[in-house]
Amino acid sequence: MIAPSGIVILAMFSLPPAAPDDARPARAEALSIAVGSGTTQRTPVIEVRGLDPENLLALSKVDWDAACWGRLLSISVGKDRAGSPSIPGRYRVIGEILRFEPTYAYEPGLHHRVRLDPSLLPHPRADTVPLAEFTPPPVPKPPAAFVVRVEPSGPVLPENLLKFYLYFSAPMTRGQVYEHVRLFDASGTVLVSPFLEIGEELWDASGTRLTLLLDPGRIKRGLRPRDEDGPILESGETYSLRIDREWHDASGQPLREDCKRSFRAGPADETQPDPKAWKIQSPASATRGPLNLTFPEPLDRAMLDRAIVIHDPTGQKVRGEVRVEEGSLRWSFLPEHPWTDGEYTIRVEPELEDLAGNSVARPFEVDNLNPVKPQVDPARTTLPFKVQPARSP
Amino acid sequence: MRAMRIVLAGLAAAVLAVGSASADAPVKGTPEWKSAGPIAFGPDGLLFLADTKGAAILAVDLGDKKAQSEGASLKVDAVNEKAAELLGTTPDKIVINDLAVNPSSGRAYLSVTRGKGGDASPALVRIEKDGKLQLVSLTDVTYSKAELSNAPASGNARNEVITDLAYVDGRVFVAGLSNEEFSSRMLAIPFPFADSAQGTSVEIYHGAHGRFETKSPIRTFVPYQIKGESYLLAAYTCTPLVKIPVSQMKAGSHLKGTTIAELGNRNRPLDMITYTKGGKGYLLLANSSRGVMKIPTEGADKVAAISKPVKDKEGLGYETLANLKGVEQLDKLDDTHALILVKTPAGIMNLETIELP
Repeated sequence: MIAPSGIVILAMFSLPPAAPDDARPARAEALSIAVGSGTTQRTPVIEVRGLDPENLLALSKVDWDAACWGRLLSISVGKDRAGSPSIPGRYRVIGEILRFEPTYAYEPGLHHRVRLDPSLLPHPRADTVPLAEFTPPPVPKPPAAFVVRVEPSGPVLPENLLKFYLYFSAPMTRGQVYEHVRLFDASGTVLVSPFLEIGEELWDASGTRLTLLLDPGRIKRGLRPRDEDGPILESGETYSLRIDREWHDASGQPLREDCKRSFRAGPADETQPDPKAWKIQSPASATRGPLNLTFPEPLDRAMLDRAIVIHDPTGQKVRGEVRVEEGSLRWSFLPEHPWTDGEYTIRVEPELEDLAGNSVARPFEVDNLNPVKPQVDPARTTLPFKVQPARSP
Repeated sequence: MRAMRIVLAGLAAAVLAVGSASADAPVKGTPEWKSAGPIAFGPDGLLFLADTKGAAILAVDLGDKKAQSEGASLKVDAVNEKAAELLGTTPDKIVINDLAVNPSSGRAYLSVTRGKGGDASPALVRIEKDGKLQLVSLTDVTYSKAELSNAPASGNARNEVITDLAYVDGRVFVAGLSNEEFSSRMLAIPFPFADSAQGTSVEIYHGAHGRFETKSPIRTFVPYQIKGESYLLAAYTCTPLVKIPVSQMKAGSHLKGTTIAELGNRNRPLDMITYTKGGKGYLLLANSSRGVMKIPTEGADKVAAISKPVKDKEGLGYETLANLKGVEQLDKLDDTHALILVKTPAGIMNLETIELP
């Protein structure tokens, strides 16, 4: 029996040795359960030993479903009661043993019980096999996660602000967002239901960035949620977004600390971002200096990472690094290779939004009594700039 | 049926960005299923599984077509604890994303995420008529897959979670919600999935009282027939309930749902089903703050689009079933019963059968 450190093993068996005149065929070994080390400590191998050849042969041929296997050899967690389900896995005969391999890695720190019922073997046996138990060792915890920053980052945000982005230092647990993020007014009163609560939760692929939408039913005009509860934010008032440390990261630890982001609400922003109003600071050729864009209003921080693309004079996309200054008013692009002389193009995704969900193509709300045509024409979303040699001093 | 409380699906990949889909004919094998999202049954007991992380829709033949004995009402107390035990973990480490009943067999299925971090795994759990839970293996099944285009480029944090899906008139409709831009897109993928299948991306707008119009995303929807025509009854993120004719869901169309009811403040539509009782049609909507709402759909064909601000209960009226609290998921069990997943204040989830009200 193999006993990796941290794994408790019980096991065994057994039948009394057959008497000389016993008609039963002699069995070489008593039945036992072994819990041994697998490739890692989280995947210990569970094996049944001492099976007689006729049972081994029969088990290698049976066409049992998971429930049937689970009744013969049950691996269970939770309350110990009759009918506890066996965790899913693969049962197979390898040589003289029956092996169980779990579908999911064993849960670290959780007590597991292994039971064999020899009366359910294809050729039933009357052995008594005591319960085997093991607890996979807990996994070492990484440092607890913390909130790296909250966007938008400026001191004044429009009263029709549509979303926050929360950036964490490490992946977070899902399913708990709306219990741990709250919005308070200046008097310290918590605002009721300010967020669009989405069970799915809007995370990025790394699990470190959360998008928190403010309830659009209270931003959009003419809807009952706004009529009944009023807008979420009001210009001139001060608010704080608070993230409490009871929120767990993906390793199961509370956040390192609480986080508070205070801001003042300013007037509603109902105008679309207009790339033609951006200031362009062209770089010099033969350098890897930045191309700088300055916006008259802050734009969506997340979309600024991908929604502005630079093309060279031949129309090829230029590779490089995007940097956005705090406040999302200034965007810079540093090319991988030096700029060359010629006319470059800045292409702006029409879906690029400002803080209130107004995009280059369309305002957040189109007022059909004063309609605005969607603006997706290339003249609006394409900005040329010239790269020239640096002027001599 | 889908529900709102989906996945933690994951460390997901982007989905509906442009809206095209490529697909494969059915094969026998083990599909790659990366995350558990909404689930819905289609014709002949086929199960559609939305995979946000894998940016795909799977259609799986579970071979579960034989009707089970009727009459037994399903009740499983602490189904979240039992599902956790079945998956070898604790209740705090699983999320039940969706509940669907196979209309061919009457068996219930749960879409479950095991784990809450980056190593979370999807699981499909079947609930037998005797209340026992069983893990459904997707090993060596007949399946087809529609891949949703525009997975994010490396380093691109944009992501679109699938919030609902349903099969209607030979197409699978998929609603998604972006974690960056605020917009509404629905993908319509012809089924059976074919090699050359191209999904259609439809933008659906919401007009408040004929005036203020936004590209508000749809959170949950259900197919519904009105005088022989297929509609989606859909709830927007900004709460109004609308009807959208399926036949008009074509690429490039500027489609606006017709508001048939305004649900009021602090609503969070979680899931909905339609049914007929006494010859009349109803919509049952699980809702975060109002419990379950029963909305007669009679007149949904005639109801004029709500074109001015309304008081409570204008448009299609509704009644709130005060005795049903904490309902997070629901689906029709049979013609006269619904299966509901109820969360108690202590966080325990019970599966219960109720008579359709």
